[in-house]
Amino acid sequence: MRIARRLLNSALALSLAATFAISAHGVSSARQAPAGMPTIRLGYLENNPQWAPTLDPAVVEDQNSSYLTQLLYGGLINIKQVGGRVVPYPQLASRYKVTGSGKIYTFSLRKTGFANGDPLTAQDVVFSIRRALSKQTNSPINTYDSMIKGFANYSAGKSSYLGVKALNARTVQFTLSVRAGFFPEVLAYPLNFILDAKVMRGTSTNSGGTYLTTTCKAAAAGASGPFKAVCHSSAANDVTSFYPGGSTPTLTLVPNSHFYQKAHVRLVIPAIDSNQTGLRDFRSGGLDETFGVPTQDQATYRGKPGAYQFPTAFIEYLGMNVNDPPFSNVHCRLAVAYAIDRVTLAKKYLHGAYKPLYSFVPGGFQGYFNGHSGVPYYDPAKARQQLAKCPGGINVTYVYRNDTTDRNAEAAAITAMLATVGIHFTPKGVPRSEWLNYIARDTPLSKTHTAACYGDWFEDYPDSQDYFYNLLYGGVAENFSGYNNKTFNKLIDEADAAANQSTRARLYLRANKMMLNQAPVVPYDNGTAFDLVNTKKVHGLIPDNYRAVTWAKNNDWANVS
Amino acid sequence: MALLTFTVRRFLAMILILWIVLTIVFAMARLSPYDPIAQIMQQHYQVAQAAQIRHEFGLDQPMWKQYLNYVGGLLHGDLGKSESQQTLGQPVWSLLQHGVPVTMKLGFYALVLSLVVGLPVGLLSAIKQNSFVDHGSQAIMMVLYAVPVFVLVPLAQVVIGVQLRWLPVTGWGAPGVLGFKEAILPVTLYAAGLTGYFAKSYRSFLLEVLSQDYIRTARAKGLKARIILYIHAVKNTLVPLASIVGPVVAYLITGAFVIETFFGIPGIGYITVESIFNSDYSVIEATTLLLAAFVVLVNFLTDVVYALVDPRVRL
Repeated sequence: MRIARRLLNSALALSLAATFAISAHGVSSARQAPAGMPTIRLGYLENNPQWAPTLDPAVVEDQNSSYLTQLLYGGLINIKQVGGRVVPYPQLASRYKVTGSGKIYTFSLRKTGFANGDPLTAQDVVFSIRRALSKQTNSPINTYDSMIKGFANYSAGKSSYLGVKALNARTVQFTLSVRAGFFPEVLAYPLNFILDAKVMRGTSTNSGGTYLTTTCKAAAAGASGPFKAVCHSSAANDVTSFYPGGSTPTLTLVPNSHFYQKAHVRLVIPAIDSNQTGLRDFRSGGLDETFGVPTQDQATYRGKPGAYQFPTAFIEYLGMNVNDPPFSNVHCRLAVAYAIDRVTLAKKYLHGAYKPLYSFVPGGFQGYFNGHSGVPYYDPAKARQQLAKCPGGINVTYVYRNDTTDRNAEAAAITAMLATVGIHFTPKGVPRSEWLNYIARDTPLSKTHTAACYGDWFEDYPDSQDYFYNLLYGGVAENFSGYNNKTFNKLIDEADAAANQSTRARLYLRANKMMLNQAPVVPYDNGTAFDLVNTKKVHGLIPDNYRAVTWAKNNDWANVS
Repeated sequence: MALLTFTVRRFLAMILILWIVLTIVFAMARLSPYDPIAQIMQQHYQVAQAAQIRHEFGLDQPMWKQYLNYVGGLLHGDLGKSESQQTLGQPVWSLLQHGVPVTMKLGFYALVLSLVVGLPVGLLSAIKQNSFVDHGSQAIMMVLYAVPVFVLVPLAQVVIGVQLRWLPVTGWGAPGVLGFKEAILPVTLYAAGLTGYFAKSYRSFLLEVLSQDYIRTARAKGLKARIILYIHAVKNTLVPLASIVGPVVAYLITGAFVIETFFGIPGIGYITVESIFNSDYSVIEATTLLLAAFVVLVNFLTDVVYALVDPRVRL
C-alpha cells in the first residue's frame, strides 16, 4: 500500500514537472494588448500551416492576402457597401476630379498618416504606384493599371515615364491613355495601396514582394491603413517576427493612431486551414468570426443571431461554343437557357448555398438586375419551342470541373433538367487542372471542339467591366464561348469609357440583357458567403458582398467594438 | 571488426531504403493527375503561360531528367522550391525549418507524458496483479491503446472544446497561458495511446522479472518489498523498456499527421498533408524523405545499440 502511495506521489511529481515543461512551451515574448482595448479574433487567414501568401499589396492575388493588406494599408479609393451595392469612395484621398475628357484624374490627399507618424504625401502615392508597376516588382496583376499612360513601356523597364505625378505635397495626378470609367474601382484594389516611401526606399522590391511579407517592422511602421502589425521579435528579416517561431502563424494588429478613422479594437488573426476548422474554432470560442461555413452545416445556423448569408461576387455559368454547331444557332442556345431551372438548382440541389442568377454580373454590380424580366428564364414550353428550331437537336458533351460535391450535383441536375425537354448533355467531369485547359485564355471551346463547358468567375476588381469585358467581349482571351457581337462590344466600350457611373450602369444593363437574349452563356447561380459572428461580443461587423466576409461597416473599423 | 562490418552493412541498407523511398515518392508525385501549375494560375489560366512556368520549374523535362535533377539537388542539400500558389518559389527548407522542431516538441511532450503516466500505472498493475486496481487500470489502458487517435480527437474536440469550452481546439505556441492551454489537448490525446501501450508493456516486463528466481531468492532472504521492487525488479525492466521506446520515438514523429492536422499544428505532418492538397511535389517529396530518414535513422541506431549490447545480433 505504501509502495502504491509512493508511486502515485512520484507520478504526481513527474506530471507536475511535465506540466511545467509544457507550460514553458507557451511562454515566450508575449505582447499584451493595450489596457482596456477589446480583442477580436478573426478567421480571415485560411492558409495554415503557412504564413500569408503575401503582405505586399502590389502582388496580392488571393483573398487571404487581400484581407490582411486591406487592414494594414489604404488606397486613394476604397470600397464600401451601401445598401447591398458596392460603392467606391475616397479613402486616403479627400476628393478627386476627372478632367481632360475623362483621361485625367486629380486627387487631393486627406490629412492622415502612417503608423510611424509620417504624414501621407503625394510623393508617397507616386512612389507606391511606380513601385507596384515597375519591372522589378514584377506584379502578376499590374495589367489592372494598364490604362495609366506609359504603363506598357514603364512596366517593361523600357521607359521611366508613367502617367502619375505629384502636383504638390498634397495633390497627385494620374493621366490615362484611354477613358476608363472604372479607374476608381481599379484604384481600390490592393495593387494601388499606398506605402510609406521613407520606410520602403532602399528595400528590395523584387521576388514577389517578400520584404513586406517577412519583415514585421515594415508592417508596423509603414502601415497606411486602420491597423499596424504587432511584432514578436526584433529580427529584421525573419518571418517569425510576425509571430513566435514554431507557433501557428498569426497576425496581431493594433490601431494605427495616425489613420484618419481610428479603430478601437485589437485584431488577432490566426491561420486556419479550412472552413471546417474555422467553424470548429468558432464553436469552441477560439474565433469571434468565421467565414465560409460548410454547406452541410449552414442549416444549423440559418436564421440565428450572428449568422449572415449574403451574395458574393462569385458567379457560375454554362458557356456554349457559339462558333460550331449546334450552338452556333441561337435557338439551340436559347433552348438551353429556357430549360435550366435556376431556383430549383440553387434551393434543392445546392441546399440554398447559392442564389439563383439570371444576370451575368452579381448583385451590387452595375448592370445587375433582380429577377428575370426580359431575359430567358425557366420555361420548359419555350425551351421546347426553341429546340424545335434547332437543326439536328442537341446531343453534346458538357465539360465541368468535378472537384466538389456541389459541382457534381449541379452538373447532374442541369443534365436532368435539359433531358426533360429533349436536350441531351453527356456530363464529363474533369479535375480542375484539366478543366482549365478548356476555358484557358488562349484555348476557346472552338479549339478544343467542345460544345458546352462550365464557367465561373470572381471579380479581380469590383467593377462590371471585369466580367463583361474579360468573359464576353469579342476576341478577348478569357471569352471561351467565342461570343463576338458588335453591338455588345460597342456598349461595353462606351460603358468602360464613361465617367458618369449612372451612365455606365445603364449601358452595362443594356449590354447584359441583349447578350442574355442571345445566350452565349447561361448564368445560373451566384455564390453566397455564410459567415458567423459572435454578436454577443463583437459589434459593427456586417456582411460585405465585395469582400465576401463580414467586415467593418462602411469599411470603417472605428465602427467595430 | 564484426561490429564495424555490421554497422557499415546497416548504414548501406539505410541509404538504399532512403533511395527507394525517394524514388517511389518522386514517381507517385509526378504520375499524379493534379497539375500544380494549374493550381497556381487560377481563373487567369493560360496554356502558354502555364507552359512557361512549367519550364521554369523544370516540369517540362523528361521524367528521368527531372529525377536526376532532383537527386542531384538533394546531394547538394537542395530540397527544391515550392510549387504551390501560396508559397510559390520559396525554398522548401524555409517552409519546413519551423515545422521540424514543432513536430519534435509535440512528440517529446507526448512521450514524456505517456511515460510519466504509463509506467507507474503498469507498475501498480503488476504489484497489484489480479486485483481490482489491476483489472480496472488495465481495462482503461486497453481502451486508450485500442481507440484510434482519429476517433479520440474529434470526440475530445467536440466535448472539451466545443461543448464545455475548456480548451482551444486549434493553434499552437501562442504566447502566455493560451499557448499552454493550446498544448494540453493535442499532447494528451497524442500520449493517450502510448500511455496504454507503455502501461501494458511495462506490466508484462515487471511481472516477468518478478517471477524470476533471483527475486524469489531476495524475498527468501527477507529483503523489504520496496527494495526488491526498486533495486532488483525495476532496474531489470529497463532493458526491455528501452527496446520498445526506440520504435515509439519513430512512431511519434511519423504519427503526428493526424494530431497536427486536427489541431492545425504547424508541424511537419501537417505541412505534408497540406502540400498533398496543393499538389506541391517538392514539399511532399521533402517531408516524406525527412520522415523516412528519421525512421530509418532511429532503427539504424537501435540496431547498432543492440549489436553493442548483445553480440549475438552481429552474427
